[in-house]
Amino acid sequence: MSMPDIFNSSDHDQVVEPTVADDTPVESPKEKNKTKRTIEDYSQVMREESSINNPLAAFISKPTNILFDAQTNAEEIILVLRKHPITQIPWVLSAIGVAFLPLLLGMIGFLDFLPPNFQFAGLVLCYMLLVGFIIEKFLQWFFNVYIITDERIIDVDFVSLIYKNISSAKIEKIEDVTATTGGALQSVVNFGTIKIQTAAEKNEFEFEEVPQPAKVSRLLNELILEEERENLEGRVF
Amino acid sequence: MLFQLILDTSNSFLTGDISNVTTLLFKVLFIVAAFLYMLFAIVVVRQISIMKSTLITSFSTLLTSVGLAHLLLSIGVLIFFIVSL
Repeated sequence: MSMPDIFNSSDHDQVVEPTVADDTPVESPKEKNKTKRTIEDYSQVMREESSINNPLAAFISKPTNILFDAQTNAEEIILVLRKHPITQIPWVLSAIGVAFLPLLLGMIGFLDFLPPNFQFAGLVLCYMLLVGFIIEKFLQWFFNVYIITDERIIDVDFVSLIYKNISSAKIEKIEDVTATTGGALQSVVNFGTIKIQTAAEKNEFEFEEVPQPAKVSRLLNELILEEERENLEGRVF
Repeated sequence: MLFQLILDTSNSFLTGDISNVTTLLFKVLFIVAAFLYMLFAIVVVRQISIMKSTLITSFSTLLTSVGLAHLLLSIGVLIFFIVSL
């Protein structure tokens, strides 16, 4: 009894032409995992946000025209935050009040004992001090920023004209994120403070009076999860 | 000119006329205030330079111009106080 043939090449006359080798390198699963994902890939918050390039905004998502000096080549700024503009109203009102002060003093004859040229000099000095006050307050608001990149959080503090403090911490060092909105004004206008506990040298970051604190908190949580995923999958950049 | 001013002031003291003394005092105060303000304006320009090298934005050029204009204005005010008061 003969065993049946499993395969007989003579029955297969079809000649298969060899194909030209594909030059595309084949990615191993590990290499595929090393591709860096964009922020829209893993962040629902940023998927809903469009790129804002207004340098005077307090909530600047995906800016393309803002850089900071410690930024690395591969690092991408996701969010730039400042104090909500409504927190600047007190000094703006003070400035407006001081602008009308010479008028009031003139009505009561405050400097009438001085010659006219001295009265004019007093007026000039008053408005010069007002201009200096406005410039100082604006610079403090404009340059005190909180930056969130895909790798770090950075707190840029210009406490006064002559004192600067810049702190940063890696996203993977963040341990806890707390968003606080307190009071009627903060609730209505939607701004608040975000406290971030880290395992870095500076163990607490505070993003004070920033817009949309809940959204920022969600974004930070998404970044933390992505960092954990990167570590698990071996995607180190 | 300064010597003449001091002489006039001394005469004012001797003659009991304090209006010139008051005027001179205010002139010195205004000039000192303008000088201190000019120093403040110099610090502002320097601080803008440091700040914009830390945070680079498209607004930085305008801020530098504002700082320099502010400094020039303060120098102009100082000169005005010295010359016209």
